[in-house]
Amino acid sequence: MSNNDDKEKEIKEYEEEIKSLMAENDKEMNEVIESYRKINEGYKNLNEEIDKTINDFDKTAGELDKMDQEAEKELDDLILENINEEVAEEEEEEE
Amino acid sequence: MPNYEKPKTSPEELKEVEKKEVIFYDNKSIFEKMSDKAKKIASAVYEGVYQMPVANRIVGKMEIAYNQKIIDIYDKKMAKRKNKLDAIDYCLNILRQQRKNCLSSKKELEKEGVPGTASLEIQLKKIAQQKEEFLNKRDKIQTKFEAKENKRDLFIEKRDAVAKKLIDYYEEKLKPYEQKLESFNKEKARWEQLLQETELRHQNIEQRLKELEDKKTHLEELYKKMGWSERKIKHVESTKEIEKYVAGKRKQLHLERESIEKEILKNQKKISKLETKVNPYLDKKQAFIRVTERQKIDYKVKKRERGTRREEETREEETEEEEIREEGIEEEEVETEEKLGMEEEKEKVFEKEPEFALKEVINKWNNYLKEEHSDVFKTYGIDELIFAKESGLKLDKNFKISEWNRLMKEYLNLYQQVDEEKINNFIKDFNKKLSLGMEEEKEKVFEKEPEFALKEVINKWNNYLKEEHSDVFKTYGIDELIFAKESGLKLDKNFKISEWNRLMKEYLNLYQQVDEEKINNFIKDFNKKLSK
Repeated sequence: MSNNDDKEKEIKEYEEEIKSLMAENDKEMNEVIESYRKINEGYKNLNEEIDKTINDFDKTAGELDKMDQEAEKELDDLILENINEEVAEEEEEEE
Repeated sequence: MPNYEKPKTSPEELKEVEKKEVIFYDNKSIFEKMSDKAKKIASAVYEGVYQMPVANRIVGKMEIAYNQKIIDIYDKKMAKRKNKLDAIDYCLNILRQQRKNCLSSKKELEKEGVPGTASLEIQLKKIAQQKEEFLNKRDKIQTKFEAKENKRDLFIEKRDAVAKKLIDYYEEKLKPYEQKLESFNKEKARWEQLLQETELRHQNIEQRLKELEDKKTHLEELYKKMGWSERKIKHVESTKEIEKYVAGKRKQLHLERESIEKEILKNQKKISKLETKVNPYLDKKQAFIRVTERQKIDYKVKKRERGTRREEETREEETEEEEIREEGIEEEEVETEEKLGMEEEKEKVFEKEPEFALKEVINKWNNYLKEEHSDVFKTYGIDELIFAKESGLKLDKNFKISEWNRLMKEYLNLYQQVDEEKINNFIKDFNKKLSLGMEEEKEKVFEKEPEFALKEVINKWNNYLKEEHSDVFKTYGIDELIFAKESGLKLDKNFKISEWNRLMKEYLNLYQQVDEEKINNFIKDFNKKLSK
């Protein structure tokens, strides 16, 4: 009988030990979960900001394309006029 | 324009230029008005742009505008005129020499009372007439050269203005996005770091959960030892609780981690989407900058000072006559023979400055650097092909060392900020080694040279300029304090004239592009006066 009592006591103590281990683990678990949620939130905000930037950039790209066209026109002007004048001068000299 | 004389483009292909809308719509009217030859050239020039995606066409057009082919349209005509100018200058020099000889002979005849000066007078008139004709011709060519140069420069100016406006606009518009991309990547890295740390803690928890599972097994064994059946053990509250706890915690951690993984994937896609949108424009901006770094050719044609050239010519002639007169007087002054002897000897030294072919002197310079200063060879070593290309000079052309020194310094300064003091020391040492034989001879002459304190000689030089060439005093006059500061020399230190000449030329070259021929003439004249 006393042998069984000892075993029961041992089990009880062991179960207590397990409970305290779980409690200790809970604390660490909460911190990790909190950290995971913080990271998740961080990525979500970052993604929202990137989305906003992508939308903003569409407008900027339009402005840059417009500027490209203006510059392209000016360069065409310059190049063609330059060729035209110089060739005309050459042809005049040849005549 | 040899590049364009035989364009491959056929008339059918010409139509393609219009069809493919390579040329900006508003400019088509210019294109339509062009002659066939001009159209052919234009389509040959625009050929590469056909294959470019529309978004990148601006880079293609910028490349055209910065392509030497376009500048060549002007440069080739300018080069032709420059050659003509050089040829006329050469003839003018010959005429100048002939005139000098005539004057000298005339003087000689007059002195000895020999008749025949009248025919020399006729010859002098003829020379003057020829000179006048050459000068008129030169004026016309120079006007054409300058007109072409102005046109080229105007084209370059307009082209650069377009490029600058575009680059500035790109800079302004893209800067916030470059900054955002950088800050997004930084923030991403911050979350990655925190995730790594959290995952380590997650692993520790997993370790503990495994420990709990082991403990559950051990607990079941303890119950077994107590004689409990397996069925009864399965219903023990504590073991059930452990099992539920471990499974629950594992699931919770997995779900949290999985949710982050989804956001990370989204984040990767979004950053990549943003970069895909922004990067082509950033690349374009870089391409603009790269293209605009190409440089124009400088023909180094002396700028004409309108209305004053004739006066200069007259002054030159007067100087020649004066020189001849002076030479005559000097011959009569027996007591100045010693000084004159020295003067002539010095002239010989000037004349004796050795000449080397460009290729040879570059080779010698590189060898000198390799032997004496191998650590700076990468910085000061010269690639003969690039040098020839940049300077537009032929590798087999002969140069005086002083001329080569100047060219080399200009070339090195093109690519990097050279250490002025260092390069001057190298040059001095190199020149010494190069003309060692001549140096010894020079030393002998220099031994006889008079010495002057730096302050004194600067003063004399400035006075000489004020008296003789007041119009260029502003250009060639020397401020003694700046000179002393730049050269690191004391004003009361004594110097031989030749040494002073060298220092002064270096100093003047520091602040401006001096006219080498002019300054050499001034120096010769000044030295002559000084030694008298």
